[in-house]
Amino acid sequence: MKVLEFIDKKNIDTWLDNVSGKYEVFLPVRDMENAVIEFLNYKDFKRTGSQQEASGKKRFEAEYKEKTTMSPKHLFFPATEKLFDFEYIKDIKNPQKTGLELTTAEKEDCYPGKVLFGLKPCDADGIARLDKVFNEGYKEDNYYHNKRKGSILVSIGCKEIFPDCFCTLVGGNPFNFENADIGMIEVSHGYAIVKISENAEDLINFSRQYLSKDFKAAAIEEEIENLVNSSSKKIIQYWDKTSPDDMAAVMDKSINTGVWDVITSKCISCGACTYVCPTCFCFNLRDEQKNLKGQRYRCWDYCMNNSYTLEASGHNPRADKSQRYKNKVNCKYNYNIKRNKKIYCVGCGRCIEICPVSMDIREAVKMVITDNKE
Amino acid sequence: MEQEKINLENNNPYLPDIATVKKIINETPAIISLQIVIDDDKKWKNFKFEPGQVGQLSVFGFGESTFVINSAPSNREYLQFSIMKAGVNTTALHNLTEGEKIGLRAPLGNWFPYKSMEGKKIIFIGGGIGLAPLRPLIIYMLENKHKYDKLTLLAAAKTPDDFCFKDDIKAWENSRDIEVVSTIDTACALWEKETGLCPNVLESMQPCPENTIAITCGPPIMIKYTLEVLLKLGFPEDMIYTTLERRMKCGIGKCGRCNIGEKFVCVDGPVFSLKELNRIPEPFI
Amino acid sequence: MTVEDKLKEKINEIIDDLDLLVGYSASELPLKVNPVFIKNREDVKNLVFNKLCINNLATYIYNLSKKIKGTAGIVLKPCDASSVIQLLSEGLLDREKTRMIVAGCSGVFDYKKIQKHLGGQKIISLELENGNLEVGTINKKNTLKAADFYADKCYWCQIYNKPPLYDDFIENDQEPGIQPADKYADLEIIESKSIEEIMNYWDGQFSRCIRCYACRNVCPLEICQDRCITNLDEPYWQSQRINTQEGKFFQMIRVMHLAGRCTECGECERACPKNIPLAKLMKKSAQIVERLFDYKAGQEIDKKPPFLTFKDVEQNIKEENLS
Ligand code: SF4
Ligand code: SF4
Ligand code: SF4
Ligand code: FES
Repeated sequence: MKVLEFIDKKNIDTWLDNVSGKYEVFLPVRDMENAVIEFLNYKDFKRTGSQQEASGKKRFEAEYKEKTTMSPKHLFFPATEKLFDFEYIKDIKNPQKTGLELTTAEKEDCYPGKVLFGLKPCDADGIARLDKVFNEGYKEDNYYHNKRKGSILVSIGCKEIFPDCFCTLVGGNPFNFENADIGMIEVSHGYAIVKISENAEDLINFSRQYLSKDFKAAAIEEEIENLVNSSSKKIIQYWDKTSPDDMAAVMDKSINTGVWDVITSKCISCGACTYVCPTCFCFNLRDEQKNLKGQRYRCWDYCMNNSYTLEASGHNPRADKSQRYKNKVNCKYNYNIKRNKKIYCVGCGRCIEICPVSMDIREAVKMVITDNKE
Repeated sequence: MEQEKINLENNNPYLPDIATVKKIINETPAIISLQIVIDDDKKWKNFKFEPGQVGQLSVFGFGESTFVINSAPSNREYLQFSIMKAGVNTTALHNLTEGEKIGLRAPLGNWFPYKSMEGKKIIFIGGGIGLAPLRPLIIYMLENKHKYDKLTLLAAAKTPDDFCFKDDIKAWENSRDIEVVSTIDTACALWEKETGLCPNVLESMQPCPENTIAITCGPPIMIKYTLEVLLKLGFPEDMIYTTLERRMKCGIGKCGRCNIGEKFVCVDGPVFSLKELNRIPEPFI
Repeated sequence: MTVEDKLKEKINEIIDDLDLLVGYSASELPLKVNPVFIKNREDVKNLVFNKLCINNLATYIYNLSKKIKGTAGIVLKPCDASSVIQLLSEGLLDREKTRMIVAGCSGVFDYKKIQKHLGGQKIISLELENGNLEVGTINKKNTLKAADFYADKCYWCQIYNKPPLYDDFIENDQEPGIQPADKYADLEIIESKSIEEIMNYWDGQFSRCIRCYACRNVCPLEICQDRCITNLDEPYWQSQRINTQEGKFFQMIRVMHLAGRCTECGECERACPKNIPLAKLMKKSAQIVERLFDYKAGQEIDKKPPFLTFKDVEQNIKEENLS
């Protein structure tokens, strides 16, 4: 990989400071007290810094190595979001006549763009998957689009591989910057920038004074080379690399076999795995009304939930949790391949880490693959 | 944040158009038909749909549900939807009175490939409210009868009271362009037409599969057995069409819940040929 | 012979009488174990029973007993047995269909506690060496005193080697070696604060809630999950918004519905991906129930749970105090 720019480690904070003057910057922050890592607005993060100084106890710190607890999808696809307000208009003099008015506060223009700093390569891949769902297809989703437009994804390659990481099994890799606007790699005394997309040129030019002018490209490139070679090897090979199409074919064959009952027996059918997942996009639409005014909003919903497909008639096509889990895994490893050409799992391992009963999507896929061979 | 009034030309796919209920018809004790008109003149003038397409009706405060547009595509006076009382939103729709406002997002979904059916014989098989998706197609084909060969309708219901569109059925019975067979599940007084479950009656009719397209709509269990009979009679998979239902929310292929395998009923359906359905490994009923 | 070996031996003896056995097996992930469902003798060798077996397998028993015709065997720690007892006392389980295989316990480690101690760092490896936990995170190896990292409930457990009810009991010679602690110390800290501070504390906690319902679904007593009002369209009793207020409200419903039922296994807190200290709420409600009704959930099959019966006069509730 060619080093295009270089930032000294000691300059990172001032660089972010500077960028946040123009853009809305988000970065992963660890809450040490509650043991969660979340994306936080840079300005809010700064504020916690001064609070910490006052209380003398360090609670928040930026975290670029570990994955955030939740994926960053909520920055573009919030857990709850208003679609529009409605109001019934009644005329006392003319009770026969009723009116109805709809208003939405959606803004087209979303300047300044968001900068998501410190994304993992798999997170950037996840956002690219969501882009496909929301920005393409039958109709564009303006609520997503308005938040996503103009945003810049700054990804840092993964030197550390965790036991639940498996991006290489689903077409990614720890230094894949395909879906990032800026790709960075941490080397001994700073961050090498190895990718700058067209979108990100403005940002780089805006903050050029914080970038190093002279750096030893050849030496850094060699270091990167070593990192890239060693890191992928640490990922546990649950299955041999397969093309998305082959994966879909394998999944198809097992749809009506009993393997899903076995895989799902310990699942408790909660929503944790879908809510932390960077590629899960299901939502529900609901109305709430008080007197004559109300709101239609959308909120995340999870396919492991019994009432997800429950029809008003009482009929439920996926009444059993094994049907639901089968649908969930197939949605990622089969249906979305057919719809959007990609495996809709980026191998971030979040669902594995947070599952209270140690369900492991890698195990599930592996079991299907072996089930097929038998 | 500045609130902007939405003009109806917007491209927000979640924002319904406002429509007015013009007329309410009681079809059966549990089913009503709503005739509605979009308030915005320009929108209403330009509104076009194809037979089989659906719309999302909202009673704001209760929610949104999906129904097939069952008025004729050539009808420029109103759009008609038939609603069976089942949940909160359908109950709210039942409680509407003429003149009230509702929300409409339409047209959505695919439609019957009526062009490719030209020159062929068509047999329609509709059970209960399953006649609704067939109605716009039947009317279209009757209006363009010269393009189609023989039309047959097998209409089924639990009891004589449970037939929707009783006037239409009567008119079609008197028409030379379509043959109508009506059947009820179990015999009852004053009923002189067929008796028996829809698939059984279909089997006894022995329709010839040659150059014939079969289109069936109804409750899942009826579809299941009707498809079996059609296959037994020798209809090829690609000559059989049906419409499917799933719980829907967004109607535009985003919210993810209406899937059968990789297909979203809301955008890839509701109309499917049996050939397409059999290609999906997941069972569809 | 370790308790694990004895457990396997026992299961080997009885596996043919069972339709299914729920037990623990090893996991690839550090500090975790896998619940497994086995039917065959050859799978018995994969079972484990050790200090990582924090999951309460009683979670599965209600649904299992609905599904299978014969008997389901279930590996339980003595505290987990309480959950089964509670289900039995509420008439939700068929005693005949449940075979309780209880193994004596020497305490289980709480991985969240370890993680919190390490400032929330991800745990990559774990080894147990003469009373110390060697925990690997990305930057280093951390040596921790094992005795400090047992699950909270272990510090006041009195039944680790004498389960209140069982079909098979496997004794554990290993003593926990845990210094008993005051169960209510953390509640006292919170309760010493002002109402505003308490409210702020919980608002801060529930601002993280994503309404994933892991807490509800992992609970062995919440058998209502598929019909839970919080995610039904009909009736529409709770908003589906994901925010602090609704998260708190949902949790209040949970706490109320579990008052007098919760056996304080701590699974809800363990399951919560956002580390919300739910066990505190459950502990408080159990404390109140105990004070008002002299009732502790999960102790005796024959004692009627307070909210399943009606008494004309409640000894500990003075009407004049109600206002
Ligand atoms: S896989 Fe785990 S997190 Fe997902 S629904 Fe099942 S139990 Fe919950
Ligand atoms: S399914 Fe699991 S591993 Fe795959 S992207 Fe989603 S959270 Fe990550
Ligand atoms: S497990 Fe935690 S985040 Fe999930 S619903 Fe319960 S309290 Fe909320
Ligand atoms: S209704 Fe939302 S995807 Fe079909």
